[in-house]
Amino acid sequence: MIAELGTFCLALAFVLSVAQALVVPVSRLKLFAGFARLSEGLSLSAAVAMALSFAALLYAFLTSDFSVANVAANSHTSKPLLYKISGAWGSHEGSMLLWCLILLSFSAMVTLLGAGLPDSLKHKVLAVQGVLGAMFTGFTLFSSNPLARVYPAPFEGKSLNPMLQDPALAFHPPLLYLGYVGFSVVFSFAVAALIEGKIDRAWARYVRPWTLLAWSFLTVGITLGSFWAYYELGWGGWWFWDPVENASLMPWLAGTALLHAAIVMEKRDALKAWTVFLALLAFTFSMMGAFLVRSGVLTSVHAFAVDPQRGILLLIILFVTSGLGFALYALRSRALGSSGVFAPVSRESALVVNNLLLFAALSSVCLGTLYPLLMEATTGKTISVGEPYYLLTFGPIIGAALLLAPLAMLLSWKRADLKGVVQRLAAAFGVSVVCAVIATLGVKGIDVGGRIVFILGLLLGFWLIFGSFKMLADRVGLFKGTVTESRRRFMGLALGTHGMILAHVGLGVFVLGATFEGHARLSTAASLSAGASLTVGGYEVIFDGIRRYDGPNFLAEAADLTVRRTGGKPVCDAAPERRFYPASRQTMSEVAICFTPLNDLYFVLGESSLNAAGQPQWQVRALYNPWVRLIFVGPLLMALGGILSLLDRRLRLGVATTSKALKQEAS
Amino acid sequence: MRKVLTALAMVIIGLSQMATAVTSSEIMLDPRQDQRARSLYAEVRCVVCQNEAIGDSQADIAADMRREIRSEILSGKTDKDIREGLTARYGDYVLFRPRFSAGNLILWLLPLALVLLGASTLAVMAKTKRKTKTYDLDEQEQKALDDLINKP
Repeated sequence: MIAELGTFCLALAFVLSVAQALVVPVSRLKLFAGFARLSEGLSLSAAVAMALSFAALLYAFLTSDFSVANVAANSHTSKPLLYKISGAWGSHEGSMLLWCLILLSFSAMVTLLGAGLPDSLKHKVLAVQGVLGAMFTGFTLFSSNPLARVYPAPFEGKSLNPMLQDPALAFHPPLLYLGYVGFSVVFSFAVAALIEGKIDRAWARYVRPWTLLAWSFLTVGITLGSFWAYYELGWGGWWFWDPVENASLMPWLAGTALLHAAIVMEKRDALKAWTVFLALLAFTFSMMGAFLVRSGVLTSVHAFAVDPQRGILLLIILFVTSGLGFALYALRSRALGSSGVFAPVSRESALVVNNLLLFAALSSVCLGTLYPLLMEATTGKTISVGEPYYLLTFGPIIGAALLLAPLAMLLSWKRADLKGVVQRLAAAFGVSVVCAVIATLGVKGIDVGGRIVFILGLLLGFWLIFGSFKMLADRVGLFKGTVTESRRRFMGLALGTHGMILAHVGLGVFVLGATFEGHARLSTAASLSAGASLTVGGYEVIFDGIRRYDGPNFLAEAADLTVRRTGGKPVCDAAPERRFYPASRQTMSEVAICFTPLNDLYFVLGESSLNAAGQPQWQVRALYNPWVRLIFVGPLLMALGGILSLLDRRLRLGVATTSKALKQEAS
Repeated sequence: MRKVLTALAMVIIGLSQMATAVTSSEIMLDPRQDQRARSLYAEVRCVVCQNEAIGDSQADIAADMRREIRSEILSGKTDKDIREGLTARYGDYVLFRPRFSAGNLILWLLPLALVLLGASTLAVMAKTKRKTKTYDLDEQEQKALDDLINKP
């Protein structure tokens, strides 16, 4: 009964979304004048209906109602509570329902927080959101209803893919979707502005907080996914340039470019057409991500929950929405115009170059992801595009952007003094060079070319961090006045400035981690019998023996490892496992990691065999991942910076703003 | 019952197992050659795996391919020879770094072309704009303008 109510609520959300999309254009007819206002109430009720529908699915998972086909396919009575809940979005159908819930919730947020928006703009935004909502709820309802029943109901469920039974992955999809779908609001704002044919600085101010929100969620979502891949897949890596990972990186890059472009538009009334273009692009890539992941056109490590037929439907949704968006853009973008005039040396010019580089980097990721598919579809030839390609194309472009970032942060708007900025940053650059060189000294076994890239990468990381600090020091007048004066100024800085500095420091931290881990990682593997040992990166790993135990829904074989510094003190105990899940008949490797504040020792248990003496032995793979913590801490700092900016009084969601108010603020 | 299940599980685990990635017995004696082998491992795709390089893969075929690469390095073949040998056997699919060929020109050059195109556009725009001199309104002018605009 609950499941039927859930389906009914989903259908209701679909109908309400259709209505939400229709009332706005209809209100242009005299007969229906004033109907546009109804879109506000409709968006709220559609969100409530959607929430009820999702609650019904959660209920079915919590009570293990196996008469619901999706629950039977993805849950099991023995599964821990957290994974029963996360099972609700662990499958294609469930995750589409989550997507719809988030989409309609964002529409409702536009209504609730949009009190300061001009009515005509707000209603147009809601109308576009309604179109998107109708398409995605319709798709879910008619082709992927997670609440559909199965008869006869099986006695026990098939359980969730054990790889997905993990805390990080329980929260990865909701956060990622909050990011993806958050860009829908930005998309709707762009389409609404194009329909209105008018766009001003206030528009950029409306769009920025939504972009920040989506971008922050997306950053955390990608980080969680990457962390999951790091400790769950057991390969020791954290980013594989897998098409599914790229699918999340593309909207992130577009969103990052948009964040910077919107600032230029807000401050200088320029780059209007470009900003609108990026706003359309960010959500287009989000939808493309959904299509790539859900359609099964990719062979990838994420190849679960795939169905090509639904893929075609998703592709149609993608083409219709983005197609219409970009067609409108082609017709109207000229009318948007730009009044701002740039001096070649100014913060706005630097941000334009930043956007150019980010866009080129985005094109590299996009090409690398889609080119093999296009090649195979058109010529039948299969090629592979992997890490070496991205390091050669994406790497230098993004490197140039990183090199420019601290300069851009210190340049002032309108007309800047490049020489002065270079002088002010010279010390930071010098310190970065010294730090980068010193950090690489201890690492042996790299050829000259590798070492140069290594040093350059670290240099960029340190440069971002010290450059950001230099900006902070300038702003608070560090070493210029008294400490209390600096403190007062520090507290007085706008939260947006704090956020910006923190985000760029976070980026630098990430670059340090990624570079160091990439160049200085050590790995070794050996077959060990009880009492034997191997060494990795100055650590000795002693294999004490194998232990077997029964988990809640799996059977495990665990290796007890003692890790100590070579000839020194014990560091930690680790127990990598192999788990067999009888419900899905799958074997999973459970990695063991010795976390230190900065570095990880990472262990994977492999096959067992008999050695020459007839004794059982196990393959143990050990990796030493230096500075790997920074890779995950950096993006979290970036997201925190985004949230800080979002808390800035001027940038809060739905703050009433007009062009005039902006101008006053600027002066 | 539990014991039977455990035993069954262990058999299945045993059957489904494969060799782990690069083991200590695979290290080449000459560090130069070992370096070359490792960079090739990162570049060559394990042909039966999903998006894994042979250096990361635990599949048997990846171990075989690594062994083959080592023996080819020992027999004095260059990296280029080895790559060509691999593509002759497995097709372009086997290399994670696509070849720089006519068919792949767009793939390799478009990002760079975008940067150059964008940079030159910006340069041209900056030049034409410098010719048409602009300056910010001074206070008086701004006030006069505001008065004009805000006139009821």
